[in-house]
Amino acid sequence: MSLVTGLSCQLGPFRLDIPRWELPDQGVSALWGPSGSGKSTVLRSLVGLQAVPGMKWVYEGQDFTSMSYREKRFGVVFQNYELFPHMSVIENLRFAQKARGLKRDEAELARLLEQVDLAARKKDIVGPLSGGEKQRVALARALVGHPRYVFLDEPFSSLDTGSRRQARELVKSVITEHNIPTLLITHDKADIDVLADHIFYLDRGRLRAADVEKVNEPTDR
Amino acid sequence: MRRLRLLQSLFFGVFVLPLLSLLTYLGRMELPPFSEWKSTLVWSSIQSAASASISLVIGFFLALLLLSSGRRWTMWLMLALLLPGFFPPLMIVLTGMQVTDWLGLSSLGLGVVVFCHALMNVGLVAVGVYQLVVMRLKGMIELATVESAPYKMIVGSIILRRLWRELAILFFLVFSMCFTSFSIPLILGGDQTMSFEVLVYQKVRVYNDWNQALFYVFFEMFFVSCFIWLLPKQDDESVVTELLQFGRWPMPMVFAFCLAPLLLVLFSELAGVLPALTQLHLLSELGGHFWVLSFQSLYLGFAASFVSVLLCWCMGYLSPWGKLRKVFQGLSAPSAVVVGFGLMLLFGDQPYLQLVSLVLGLSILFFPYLYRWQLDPALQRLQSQVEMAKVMGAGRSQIFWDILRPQLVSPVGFIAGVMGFWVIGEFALVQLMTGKELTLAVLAQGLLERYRLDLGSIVILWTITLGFVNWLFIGGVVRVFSHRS
Repeated sequence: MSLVTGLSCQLGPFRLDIPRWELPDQGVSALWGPSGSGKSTVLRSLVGLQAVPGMKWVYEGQDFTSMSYREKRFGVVFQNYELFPHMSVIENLRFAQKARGLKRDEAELARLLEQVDLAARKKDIVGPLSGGEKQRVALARALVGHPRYVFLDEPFSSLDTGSRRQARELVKSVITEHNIPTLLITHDKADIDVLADHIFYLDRGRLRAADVEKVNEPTDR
Repeated sequence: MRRLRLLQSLFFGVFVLPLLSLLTYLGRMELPPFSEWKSTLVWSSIQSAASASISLVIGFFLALLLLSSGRRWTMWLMLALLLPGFFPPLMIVLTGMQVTDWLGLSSLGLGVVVFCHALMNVGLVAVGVYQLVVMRLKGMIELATVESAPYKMIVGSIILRRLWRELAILFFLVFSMCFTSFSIPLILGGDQTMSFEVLVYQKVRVYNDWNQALFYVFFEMFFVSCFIWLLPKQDDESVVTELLQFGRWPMPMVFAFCLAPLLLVLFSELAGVLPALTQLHLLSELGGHFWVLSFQSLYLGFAASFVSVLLCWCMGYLSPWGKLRKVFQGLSAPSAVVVGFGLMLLFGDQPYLQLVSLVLGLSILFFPYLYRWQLDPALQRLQSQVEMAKVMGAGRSQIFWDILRPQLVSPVGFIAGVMGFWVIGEFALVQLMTGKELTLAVLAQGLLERYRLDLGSIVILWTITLGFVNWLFIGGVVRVFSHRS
């Protein structure tokens, strides 16, 4: 288990208040909740994009909040992927390798692209790729250099129903194979059903006991 | 982090350098006669209020025409409306002189200054009002139209009633632009000094009374600052990409009115050039001096374009987001006289430093507009990519070279081109800072002042051509170097 403490901040009228959170250090943990519950703020705070004074996240005896981004070595897939549109698929991955201070390792990149079924498109510019392909590039990029923690922020929300099902299976198999602890941010129960090993429910900025069965959200599983 | 803050402060410092320089001379300030500054204040206020009122009334009417223009034409008409404000002020001055000539009126005085200011600003107001209507009232207007509310009722009860505050802000913005106008009142003001900028110019260049000039600079800065502080704060709103079809004005009327300002400027230029083409021998009056000035104009334009590219890359590298972005956005509309006078006090009248201070002055004057117009929106679009790269652990250099620089080539090339175009067409700051006929634009100003509209038109046309040549050249250079590196 890793331990997050002091994740509390006020953003206008919204208050995020998570004094203590035991976040598993293996498997996929899902942070689930309705729109506006503060999921994105939690993600931005954990990743380090949102400064939260007094927050600590102790993982394997080290406090992530006192590290630089490079030392943290996080992999993130944002909702709209945030690929670099002027670069090719392989260049996006090379960028991540360089950013993490790793030696250029084409074999690792080729392996990752093979896993996400994009080896044939590695030289294509990412701008014109389909939503599903972009999502796979983003996943491969997040996994470059074996990150210590992976964050998936509503990773399937931009996909159509058919692609979503396939994408969930792919993400599940890749994450399982790499065995990297992952935090999945979602409001879709189907994501939880397929991927989550642990579930946390966020409601108006506070963590509550998760009770997935009570939710009657439509699922496209 | 500390090094970055230092770099950011140094960069910001370049833009406030003239102001800091002026502040160090605060003790030497001397009070001018009360009657002099009272009369200038009265004339400036009358001129600015008249210009702003006319711009607002005509601009609002043009916005209504734009709203009914149909999706196919709106963007083109907006571009046509904005162009007169984009051209060098010399073209507007020429238009003012030609129109008064055709009407048999005096080409100097309050009327023609107000006319020129209105010509420059109506398009800006029209596009501003159009965007406000689409952004804030689209749904309401569409609903009212479906419920068959009459046109007058929608204009009166929805547009005017809901936007009166924004219209007041637009009025005050145009007022402050006209109040600090330099180029147009300098040539067309006549006996009455219609802006403090011109008065400062006269104090420095005609009477060599720098101490009183200081008083006017600070007075103008104080007056305009009070004005800006009194304005209600606006939310940061993005540029409108949606369109709205509202009203059914006859299309020939829409085109005639929306294109009128642009056509008037172009026709005035042609009316001067065409007769003069049969008398190209007139250029021989200017002799080799004409080509020397052409070279110097190009040189100055290219230097300013080059500096603007450097400023853009610095801005990209320093990545001003969050609070710092607000600071850079606050670098708005420095007055030409503040910039020019501040740098003159700093560098003195040394000829060998004049070119450096002139390029710096022109960059300080124009870059903030171009930053807000092109670079800031481009940087905002890339912000999420930069965040992503940071999370991966990328350093500032990698982010700049691999993400920002390749994706900023187009806006940077555009900024450099426009910067050169404006600098080549600028005469007022060049006159203030050097007092010499250093560029073609200053030559054209002299010709217009001597009422040589024919020769003036040719020189203006040639100046604009050089501006476009520089634009194409610098745009190409930026692209080539960006692809190679």
